[in-house]
Amino acid sequence: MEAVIGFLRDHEEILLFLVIALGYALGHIKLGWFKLGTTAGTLIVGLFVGLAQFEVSPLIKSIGFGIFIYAVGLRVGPQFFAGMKKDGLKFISQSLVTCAAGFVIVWLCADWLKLAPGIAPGIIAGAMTNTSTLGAATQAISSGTVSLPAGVSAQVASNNVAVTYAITYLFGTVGLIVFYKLLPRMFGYNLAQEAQKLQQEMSQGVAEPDPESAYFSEYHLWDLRCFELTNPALAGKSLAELGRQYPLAVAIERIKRGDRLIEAAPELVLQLGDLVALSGRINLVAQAAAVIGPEKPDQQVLDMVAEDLEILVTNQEAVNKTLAQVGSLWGRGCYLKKLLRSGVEQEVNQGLTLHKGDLLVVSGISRRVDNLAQHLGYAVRRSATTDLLTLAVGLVLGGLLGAVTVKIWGVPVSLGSAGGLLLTGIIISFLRSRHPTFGNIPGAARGVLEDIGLTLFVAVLGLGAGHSVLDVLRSAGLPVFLVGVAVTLVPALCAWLWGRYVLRLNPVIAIGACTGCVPTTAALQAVMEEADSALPALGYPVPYAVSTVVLTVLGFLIMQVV
Amino acid sequence: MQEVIEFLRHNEVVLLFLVMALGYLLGRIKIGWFSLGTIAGSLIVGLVVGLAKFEISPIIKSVGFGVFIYAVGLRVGPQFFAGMKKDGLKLVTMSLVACLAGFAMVWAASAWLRLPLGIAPGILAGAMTNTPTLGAAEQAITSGAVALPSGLTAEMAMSSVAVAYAITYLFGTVGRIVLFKMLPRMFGYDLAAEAKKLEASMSGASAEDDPYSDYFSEFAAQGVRGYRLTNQQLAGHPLKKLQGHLPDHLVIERVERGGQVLELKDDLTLQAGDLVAVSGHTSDLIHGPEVIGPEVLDKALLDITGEFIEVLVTNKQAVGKTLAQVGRAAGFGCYLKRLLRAGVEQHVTGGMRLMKGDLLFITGAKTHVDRLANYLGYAVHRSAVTDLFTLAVGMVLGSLLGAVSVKLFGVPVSLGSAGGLLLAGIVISFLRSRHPTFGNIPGGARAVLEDIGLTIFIVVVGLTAGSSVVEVLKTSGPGVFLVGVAVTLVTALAPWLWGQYVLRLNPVINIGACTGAGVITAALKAVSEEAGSSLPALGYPVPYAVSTIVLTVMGYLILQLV
Repeated sequence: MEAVIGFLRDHEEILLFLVIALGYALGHIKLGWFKLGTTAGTLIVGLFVGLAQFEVSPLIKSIGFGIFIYAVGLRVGPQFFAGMKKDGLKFISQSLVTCAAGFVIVWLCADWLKLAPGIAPGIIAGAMTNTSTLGAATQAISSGTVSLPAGVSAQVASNNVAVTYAITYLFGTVGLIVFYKLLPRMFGYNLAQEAQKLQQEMSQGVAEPDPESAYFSEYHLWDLRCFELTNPALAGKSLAELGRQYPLAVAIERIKRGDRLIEAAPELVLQLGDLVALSGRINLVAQAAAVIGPEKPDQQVLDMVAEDLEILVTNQEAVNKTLAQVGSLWGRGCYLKKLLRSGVEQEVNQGLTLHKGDLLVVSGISRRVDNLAQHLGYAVRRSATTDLLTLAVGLVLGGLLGAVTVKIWGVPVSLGSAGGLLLTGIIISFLRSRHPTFGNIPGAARGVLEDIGLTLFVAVLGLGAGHSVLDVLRSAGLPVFLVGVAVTLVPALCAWLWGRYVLRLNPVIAIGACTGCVPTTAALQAVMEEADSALPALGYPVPYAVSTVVLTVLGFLIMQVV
Repeated sequence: MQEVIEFLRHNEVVLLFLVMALGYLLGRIKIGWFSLGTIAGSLIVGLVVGLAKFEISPIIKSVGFGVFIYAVGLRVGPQFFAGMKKDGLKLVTMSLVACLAGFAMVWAASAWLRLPLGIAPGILAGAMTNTPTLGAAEQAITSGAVALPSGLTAEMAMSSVAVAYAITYLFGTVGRIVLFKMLPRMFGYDLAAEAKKLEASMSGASAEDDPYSDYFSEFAAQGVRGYRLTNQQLAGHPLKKLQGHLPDHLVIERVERGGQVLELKDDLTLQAGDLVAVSGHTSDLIHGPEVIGPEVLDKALLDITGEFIEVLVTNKQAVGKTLAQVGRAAGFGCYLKRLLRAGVEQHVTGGMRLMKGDLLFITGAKTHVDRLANYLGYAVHRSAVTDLFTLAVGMVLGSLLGAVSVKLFGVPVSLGSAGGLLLAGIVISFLRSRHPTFGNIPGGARAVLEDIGLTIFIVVVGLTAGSSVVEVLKTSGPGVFLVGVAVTLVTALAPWLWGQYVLRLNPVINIGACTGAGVITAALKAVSEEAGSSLPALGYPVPYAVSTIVLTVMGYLILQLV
């Protein structure tokens, strides 16, 4: 055993990844319907291994946390601003009520029980399962913004934060999941039935396809089909002539004459017997057999690369033109799926005038949509490559923003690096959603940065705090746990009552919003299982984004208030 | 200035990402067609900023490098094993020629010129632009695997590695891009003409699909179309019986009557005027208008969820059955796109028998596809979530493997953690390609780990080596540069001659393989431009994978030998 510990002390990177691997294994163990989850799992393994007193550089913790929180900002950014619009204000108030309830309880208890420094933010972080609060509090301590009482070192205070977090986190997850599964039932709602009702009301709306998903709709606006030319009226005509005669919403892409493939060009003249690949709106293409000749699916002539391309309007020559003008100039063979202006989908009609910054989603054969993109501005291609320059710049700006200190009533207040990084992430993802020419980060890359940043952070946190677990448990274990239970349940209940009886939200949406207020993704998953529907998720993102920000700042504030 | 440095000393996260951001900017600056690239850019900025003497915990470097090299392993893994097959072995020898030539030269030069310890692997890494070599050398020095001469600190040795790398990297890139562009001409080949000839001789072969690209081939061998039922013969029959009246393989997916989508039951009776969605092969669908009625476009009718998934055959009931039998048992409404056995695409026929571990690519309406997947075994849903458990386990195993040391002729030799992690990544990516039920890591996530791990590593190397840059430059600057030039030129020329005169490769493939053997992707781009074709890329992957591995291990070995 000594030898193993000695080896790990010399190979800290093995130690770290070992803790993560074991933590993931622990987090995946299922007891009935309950799983600890990887965050709690890694923390517990870290605390346990940390009993052997490892000292891992805190820089790993800061880097991991920085990357994690910035990635969270990138994730919630677009929803965060959507929440600012009228419907979202309800969700925001629900989130504020929840956070305020938690804050007040912790404040009162800390005052009443005379809890040691660091315990209060630890309870907020753990009981309301908001890990970024943890980072904000430890940051407040280590940066010296908080004046600690005599005899309490910064190290002791941060350890208090971590251990309290660990004690209260368990009920914060498990208790909350059970509570939220039972809550609608206690108020007489059958979630599954409510979800079905809601589903029917909403079935008009069509969900946005997830680009990474393997699912797709069989409904297409346009199609590519191949016909054999048998109509003598078309033979001998050039594509340019036919173009004047037939609507813009169909286009000949390529023909096959004998064994030869010929790409479409204005001067190409059709002959009887040509196989013609025709793209177009489906209702027109479906009638083409009557005009051209029988449909003959020929693999060779139809084997073309097509795509849905997002085009950002930036060129002066395109701005202020109507869609009809753009269509007749460069639009043949391109099919407009939708048009977003400042992130909002617009009703499309021929008279709509293009503005700079409009985002068009256009389908068609690659050659055609590429050509259109060159005339309109900038083709936004989803790429698997992350723009690390923007990432690094964002992390620097976030760190700087978090370091800015403002005095309010003489108390120095700052966002802390957690708040700064979160905010920068939100702003950058918002800017990118409007102007997608920079800062590309695929969902999978963002996800892995968030996960690996979080686990590195939590693993080092656990390792560092491990050796003081026993002390804290002995001196303050039970009261802290009980306060944690209260802080988990009371805000959770407030969120439900406020959402259901003040805001009068649909129960399915309300319960989803509650899980966002707290913010516990695991509970959302549990509630969705209970409702047998994904609808609760509609209420989740806005309160989640707001609560994450508010609780992070509160974690910093409570250190300065208590 | 002093204040900024102080601030950065206290905010190391900001420091790291600031250097990274500046490095990326520097690396992107284009002078004509040449840019430094992000790695050299980050290293140089790191060295300059490091003049202010920052001390960064070495664990950051180890974790960054570990993540980087493991991700490299995941990337090159499949190619490495492809190289082990008979055609690939020729290309493997090209790598060995290049690497051995480089190794021998560096060894001889450092013995002859009495270069300080650390310069040799630095030259190898820089002149052949293989950054993992740098990491391996660094590990060898800091882990104590190398006995340092008295008076030389590990820090000094590490500075020598970094500085030698920086000095030789420039010519390693620029020199070889120019050389590889000119080489074929010097031997009397017109690359563009050769590429045309080769293309003609191998036409029909198509490049493999990039799973992450947004493109799809428009020729859908099957699809869904909607028809209005007008054929009186079909009206009045229950669905079950009706299925027999339709041409083979046409499947009724949905029925809409009076704007309402009806539930599909066997006893549902169709009426004239019903809208019917039918899936099937295009060659059958074109008979729809004759058999059912005119084609219609209706969103509610056609908005059926389709799915494209990979299914791994694991169920006993499916193993040993022919594809035709499986089709009859569970294949209703499903379409087989490809079948891979042991990673190799198979020619599909109805009589082919399934084996355990076969990977089937299936598309169709979600309900049908899910049923078939259940019957066959395990559905591999493309997911954007990285399996961090496998990642962590792989990294632990890799590091442990690297720590094992074996005595060869009395000298303790080990792979080093670089070699160990690289190997672990290769093995895991290979296992995953055969059995994709574990270790999911999307391309975008893998790439961001590789990039961010590498840059963090390089930045820390630069920052720590910065303090002794001036000294190293004074003692061995010009000598190192000249040795680097020689190593660059010889290691580029040797594989070309080998490919030309021993292996007798086609010059187009040969030059591509040379860029792979020299691990220089920028030169591959240059050569492809020269050839006006992407064919040189055919020779590239296998030597690239092999050289990466061999050079990495050499970086560790050379320190033990010099």
